[in-house]
Amino acid sequence: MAPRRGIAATLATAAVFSVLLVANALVVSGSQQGDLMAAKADAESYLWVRGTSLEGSLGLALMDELQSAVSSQAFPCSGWAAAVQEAVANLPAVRAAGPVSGSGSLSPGGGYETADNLSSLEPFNGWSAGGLDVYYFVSLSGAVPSLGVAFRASQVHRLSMEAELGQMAQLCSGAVAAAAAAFAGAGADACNGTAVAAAIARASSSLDARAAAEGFGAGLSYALSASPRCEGQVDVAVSQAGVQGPEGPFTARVEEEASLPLSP
Amino acid sequence: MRFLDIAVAAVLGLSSVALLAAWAPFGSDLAASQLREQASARDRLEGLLTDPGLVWLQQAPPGEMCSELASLSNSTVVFTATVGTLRCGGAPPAGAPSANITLDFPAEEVTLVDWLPGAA
Repeated sequence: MAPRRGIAATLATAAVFSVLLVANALVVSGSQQGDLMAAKADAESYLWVRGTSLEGSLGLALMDELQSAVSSQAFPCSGWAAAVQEAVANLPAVRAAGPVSGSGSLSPGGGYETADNLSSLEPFNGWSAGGLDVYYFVSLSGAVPSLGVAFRASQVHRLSMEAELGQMAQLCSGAVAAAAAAFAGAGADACNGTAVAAAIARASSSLDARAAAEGFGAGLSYALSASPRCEGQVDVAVSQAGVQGPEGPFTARVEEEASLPLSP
Repeated sequence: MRFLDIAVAAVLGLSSVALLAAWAPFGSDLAASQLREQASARDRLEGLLTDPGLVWLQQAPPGEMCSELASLSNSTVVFTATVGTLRCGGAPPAGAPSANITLDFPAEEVTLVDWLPGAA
């Protein structure tokens, strides 16, 4: 009986350890699945953070471009909105390559219902009352092919700068109209300049006062010419200094130069 | 015969124990834990993009940025940066979960790094 007991004990040992090994294999297999899931989650986190960073960087680069465009020109007082739309539409798109690649562009308007804010670009995040509002379109894509993880996103965000071009254009157009009225009211003495000068001085001081009340700077200048016919030339400029831009404060300007006929 | 039985059973038992020990899942649990901590470091770094925000990071002088990052650091997370050629803060210790983001601003490149000292 002794040899049989020995064989039975060996077989029992083999059976017990086989069960343990199978159980361990199941645990290890589950753990490997867990590892794979953890690696995928890590890859998704990596792509998400890179994407978020790139989304903000591209938006900031576009706001830099917008600042350059707005600070480098004076927009016309009449038709300023169309001129701003054209300036925004002409801004080049920006692109970036890397683990996550992306492209972004600005659009002056269009009523995109799905547009939301972009908190990383505070203080340009969202729209501001009376400010320069734009839509920011951004597309991002990236992947970790070895793990079968991909990231793709297309977003529309609302961004703005507190350049109050509309308010400035309204003041400017009012001043041009006041100058036109001054020329028209000068009557037959218009071309000698004395009557016009007094009326223009009143229009100018009124413009200065209104602009200062709203935090703007303003200037009104004029010239008269008698030949070949009697007419006046008026130049009105309104500016807003200290507009906050991504590259620092800058000045936004609107300006109108108009030729105005004088009464005979 | 009895000696042979004992020898076979012993070899079987020892090799099985060795196999169980070698095939244990503890190592992979450790790797998954490190990945989670690295993701946590990455999330904390992402938080800097919102507060203080990208605009501040672009405009702030290097010294001011270093001071801000030092004030945001604590016993659980350490933020450092390289602004252009200036580096503030040391490199993460070996083995510490860390993350980095490079921001390519027009004036200079800013690389933000954070690491979790408690997990090193």
